[in-house]
Amino acid sequence: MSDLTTTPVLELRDVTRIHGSGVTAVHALRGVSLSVQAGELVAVMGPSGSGKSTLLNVAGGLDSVTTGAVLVEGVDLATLSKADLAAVRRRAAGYVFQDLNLIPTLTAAENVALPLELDGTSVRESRRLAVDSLEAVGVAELAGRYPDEMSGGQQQRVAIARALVGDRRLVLADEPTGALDSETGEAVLRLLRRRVDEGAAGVLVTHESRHAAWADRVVFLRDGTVVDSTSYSVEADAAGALS
Amino acid sequence: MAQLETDDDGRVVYEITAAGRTEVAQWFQEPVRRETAPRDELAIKLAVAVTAPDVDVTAIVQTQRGETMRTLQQLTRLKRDADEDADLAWLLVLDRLIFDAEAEARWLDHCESRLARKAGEKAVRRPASGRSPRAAQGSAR
Amino acid sequence: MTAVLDRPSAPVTPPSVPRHGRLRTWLGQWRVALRLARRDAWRSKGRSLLVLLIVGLPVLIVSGVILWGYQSIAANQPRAYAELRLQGGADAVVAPQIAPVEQSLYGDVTNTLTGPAPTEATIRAALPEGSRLVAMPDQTRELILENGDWGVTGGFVSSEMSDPLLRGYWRNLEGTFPKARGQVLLDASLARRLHAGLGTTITVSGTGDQRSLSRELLVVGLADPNPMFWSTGVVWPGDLPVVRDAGPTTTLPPFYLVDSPAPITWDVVRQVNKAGAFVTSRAVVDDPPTFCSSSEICLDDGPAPGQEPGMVSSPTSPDAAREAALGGVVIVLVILQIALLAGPAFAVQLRRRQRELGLVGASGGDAKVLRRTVLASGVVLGVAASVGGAVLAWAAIAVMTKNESLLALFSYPGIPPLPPFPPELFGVMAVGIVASIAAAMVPAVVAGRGDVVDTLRGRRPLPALRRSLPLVGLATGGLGLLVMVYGVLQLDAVILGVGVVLGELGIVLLMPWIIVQTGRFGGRLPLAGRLAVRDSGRHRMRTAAAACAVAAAAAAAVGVSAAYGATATYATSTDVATLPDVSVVYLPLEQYDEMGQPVPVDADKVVAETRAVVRAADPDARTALLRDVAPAGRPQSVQAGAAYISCGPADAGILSDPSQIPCYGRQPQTFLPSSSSVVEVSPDDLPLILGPAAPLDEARAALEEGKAVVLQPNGVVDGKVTLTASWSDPETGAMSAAQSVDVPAIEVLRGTLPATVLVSSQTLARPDVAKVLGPGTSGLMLAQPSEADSGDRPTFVERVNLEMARSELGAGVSESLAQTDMTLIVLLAGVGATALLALLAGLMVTALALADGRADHATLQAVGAAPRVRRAVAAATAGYVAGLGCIVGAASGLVGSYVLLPLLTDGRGFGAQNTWSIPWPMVGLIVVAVPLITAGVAWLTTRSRVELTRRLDS
Repeated sequence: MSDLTTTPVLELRDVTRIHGSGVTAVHALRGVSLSVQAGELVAVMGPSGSGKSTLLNVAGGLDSVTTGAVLVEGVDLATLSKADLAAVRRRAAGYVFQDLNLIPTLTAAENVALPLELDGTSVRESRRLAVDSLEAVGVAELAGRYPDEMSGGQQQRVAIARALVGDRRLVLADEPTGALDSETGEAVLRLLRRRVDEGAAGVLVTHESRHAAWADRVVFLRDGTVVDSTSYSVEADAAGALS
Repeated sequence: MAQLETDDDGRVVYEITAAGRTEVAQWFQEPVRRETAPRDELAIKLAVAVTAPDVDVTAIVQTQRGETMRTLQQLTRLKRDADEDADLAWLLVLDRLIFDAEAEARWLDHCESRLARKAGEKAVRRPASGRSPRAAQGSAR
Repeated sequence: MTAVLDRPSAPVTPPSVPRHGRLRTWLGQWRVALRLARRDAWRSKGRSLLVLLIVGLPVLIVSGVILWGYQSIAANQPRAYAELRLQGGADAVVAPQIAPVEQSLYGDVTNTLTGPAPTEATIRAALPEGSRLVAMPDQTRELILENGDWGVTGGFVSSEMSDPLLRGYWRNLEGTFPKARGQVLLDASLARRLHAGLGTTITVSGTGDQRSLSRELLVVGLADPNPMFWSTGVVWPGDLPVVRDAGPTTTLPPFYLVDSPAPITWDVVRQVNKAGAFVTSRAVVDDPPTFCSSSEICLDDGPAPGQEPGMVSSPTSPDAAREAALGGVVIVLVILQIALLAGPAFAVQLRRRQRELGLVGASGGDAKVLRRTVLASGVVLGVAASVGGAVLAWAAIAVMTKNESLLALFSYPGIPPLPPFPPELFGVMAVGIVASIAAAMVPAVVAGRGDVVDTLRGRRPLPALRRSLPLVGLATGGLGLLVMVYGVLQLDAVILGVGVVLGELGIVLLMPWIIVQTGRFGGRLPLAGRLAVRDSGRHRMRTAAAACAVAAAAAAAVGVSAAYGATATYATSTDVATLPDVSVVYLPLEQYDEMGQPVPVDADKVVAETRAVVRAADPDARTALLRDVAPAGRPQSVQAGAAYISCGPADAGILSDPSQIPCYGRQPQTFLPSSSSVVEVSPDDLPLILGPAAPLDEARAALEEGKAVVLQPNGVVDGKVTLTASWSDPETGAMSAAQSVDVPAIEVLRGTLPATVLVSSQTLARPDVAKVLGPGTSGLMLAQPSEADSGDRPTFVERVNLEMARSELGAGVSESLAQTDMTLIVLLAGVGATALLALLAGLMVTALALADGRADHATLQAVGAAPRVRRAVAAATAGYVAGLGCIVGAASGLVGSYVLLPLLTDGRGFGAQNTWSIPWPMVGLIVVAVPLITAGVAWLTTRSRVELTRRLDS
């Protein structure tokens, strides 16, 4: 994974996002740059109002940038129409929110299959891929259950399954353990880590260091800028160098 | 401990006395008390740094936090590799270290916020050029 | 498939390229949308039921009406009549004639040839071996049946009724057939009129030359007779004098019922035809030969040559196009109304599904997908409601037309088969589906415009009201008004309809602005009111939809009230209501002999006898004679069709002809014998004819001077009225030249008669008049009883009919003119119905708002508000929305009714007599009662304890 010619799954280049204009303008992001490769989990930490959620929103095309570029799988989101941005979310990037991730009237499998079906995949194929994804997160037996028949932890697993179903390999998680107790939260992070190790790319927004520690790199945001960034890898540690 | 009879090899076999058993039970049950005024090197360092005029405290905080975070990541990596069933005692200790490190990181975050807020307030009190000096004097006091 | 995401390079299809093809993507997105809609509909059963009712009930009713029409037509087809004839269970009904015949498939169209008359032997020979013939029993003459004070006239069948085929014509038997002399079985409905039942003894007496006959019979049975072979009942043979009811030259019974071992196919029918009788055969009805249609004379293997093909009604192009246009406008109005009523439900649904929509958006659904998700609800519910409504209507009509007791209620002439599923029903279903989708349209558009991030946060930023919207609304409404005026001027219903649609749309566009404006004043209200107004303002879409629904219904209610007011005022001005309770007795001035030829009648004698009959029924009754007026020298004015100043329905074409003026007043069911509307009366009879409130002295003086009295407006010009006589030649049908005479006349706007002009003998005696007009030969008598009818005695009309049957005159016909004016009643019912609709709209809105606002109420409760406060908020919300709708609706209804005024009064366009008299109490009641009632219901149904629900899901 250290091949420098590999395109990052997600790349933010000097991204600035300003809401409003003039005196009341709010700078949600200022000149933020970030790059996430496949197999990499990046955590974003910061107090409220630091722009964490905005970063996640622009990463998936839910929000536009004022200056700078956002590239998902090499495609510059600024060149896309709203409909095409939706296509990006169907095919490349999946969101996981703090809670209420699942549509209550759909089963787990139907929830996971949602992006595929919206993209035109046949029912059978999308159902198959959904079950595979559920298996990968260890809750294949919940395929036919409805969200209100599952625990919080199970719901988050299903949400992760949806984020990574089919070809999708970018998961954008916004405080996914916020509504869970410590144990369950850890299990979910373990799962996320495993999937990333298996080839996904992830951005994890959190305000708890303990959770951020599961990432390969931790980025600190304050007032829209990156003030610090730490990373830890076994090799670097062994070499005694800071990266 | 009470001494029992000596056995054939000459070793003394000790058995826990009833009084001893009670003591052990009490030790398990009583919570461990924390020292109320810990000798924390980091806390002293920062306290001193804040009062010194030319020191960039924020940089210190960030550097320290980075180190703490790296420790956290290391610990988490160890936890990842541990087996949940076999190494339960090891995991308990690991978790303790992780929570301790997190507590430190949280405190450092908190310090950073405080410092940032203070800097913001100072910026208001020291107005940019163009404002009337009289107004500046009035509020600087 | 492994779990390893094993893709070394970017695998992603470029976003603008549909990965699986456009069609598949479209299908997939709609599949998801429909699935979400189905599940959501199931989850919120209450809201779904509401929409199902709003869309489904109109579909049900209209489908029912359409199918009813089909069944009525089918019940009039030859096949239906044939079914009726074969009701007794016979294999065939054979009707002997005087010679060999030809017939249509079911025997209703016939042709007599020349040849020998049939005998029973020849008929039997033509039928299959071993057939049994049962002759129809003899009939008695018309008799009078009495039970105490009650009496009717009728004739009996005289038979032992031993054969089951005969008994089959009497249904729902209670008791038994007569088993001996002195017993009788009665028609059940007739028995009810006689107030007789099982065990009653009735008196039977004769009429005409059998006046001396009198007998007492015990009622031993009640049943419903087959309408084709109807009689009053069954008596034992020999009990009463019978008269064979056959044609003049045959001694055979009028019908044979045939019980045959082999089916009587068309070949057999033809054999019987050649023997000399018509046949209605069960086998032919069940399986008709295909080489003939049911309306043509059919021979052995094909229709008889030289027949005129059946009239094919082809829609003449200009009329068909206009009707289609009118139909289109009506359909649009219906769709609009349904959409307005169902709109609030979809608006609420949008809020409830907000999180769901956000998740769909985050998972890659663009604006189109979000719109489709909401529209799919409209589709799902619309299809369910429309298909359900149409199918239910079909089932209901099928059951009704196959159930014999229900069939009797509707008095179909024949028994129709199962109803078809005609294409019109699909049209009705389509309209229902379109309406449901239209109701979901605005919420769908709003959903598409929503920002996914805000939606997920649960933030619903209220978009500022677009400046242009109220202006567009005002412009549309104004345009609609102008179009309506144009439509009235042109008396074109289509243009009018378009104007109404535009006007409604204008109000719909204007409503959000009105809500915002009224919201500004909410601050001055007490707490409950303030919360209600602020809340309604926040949920602008739901509030606007609800207020529009109420407004549309309220506007209709006010419009119909205006129609009622105008009609009532006009009616009062012509004093229709104060007319006496008068009945019409038709003088039996036309008599025929057995050959069917008319017989000359001594008119004065008939008149005197009729008066005696009336006095016999009520000694203190008053009578007035109305004699017909005919062209001079041609007394048989029945043949001489005359056109005088006649009144007819207001129609564009007629209005330009000054000799035609629109009618107003009550119309009896049957008209005067001649088509003239000029009658000769005696001045002494005026109080009865014009009623006590008329200027009787003036009218009497005018008649005695030889003037005419004109009863309708605009007939008298410069103190004269023009009477025109013309007639058509009875042989050739050609119209003669018209002759006119001007007669001095006064106008008296009173009277209920369809007569337009009253003249006296003095008028007819004037030389200039006598040249053109003279007395006719027909007429009728008005009779007024001395006291009103009460429920425990036969009515005046019934008594007159009975006395007439007893007299030498024989049976006559009378009917009462004292009908309540259906127009006013219909209009009043219309006001009630539309007001009820407004109330229903208000209640529905309340139910939605209550369900929707549960989260707010939970907060209120958590904050510690007393139950009373929450009830007050609910009541205030309901009252505010309903009140807003009623006020806006009433205002637009008043404006619309002013524009439509000419149509409401006498249909003569602007400049004519217009009475814009609004029944203000009625309107005020609507505007006040509907909001009050909705608020009251909201107050009562707000639950005192509300479970704290998570605010996130609302």
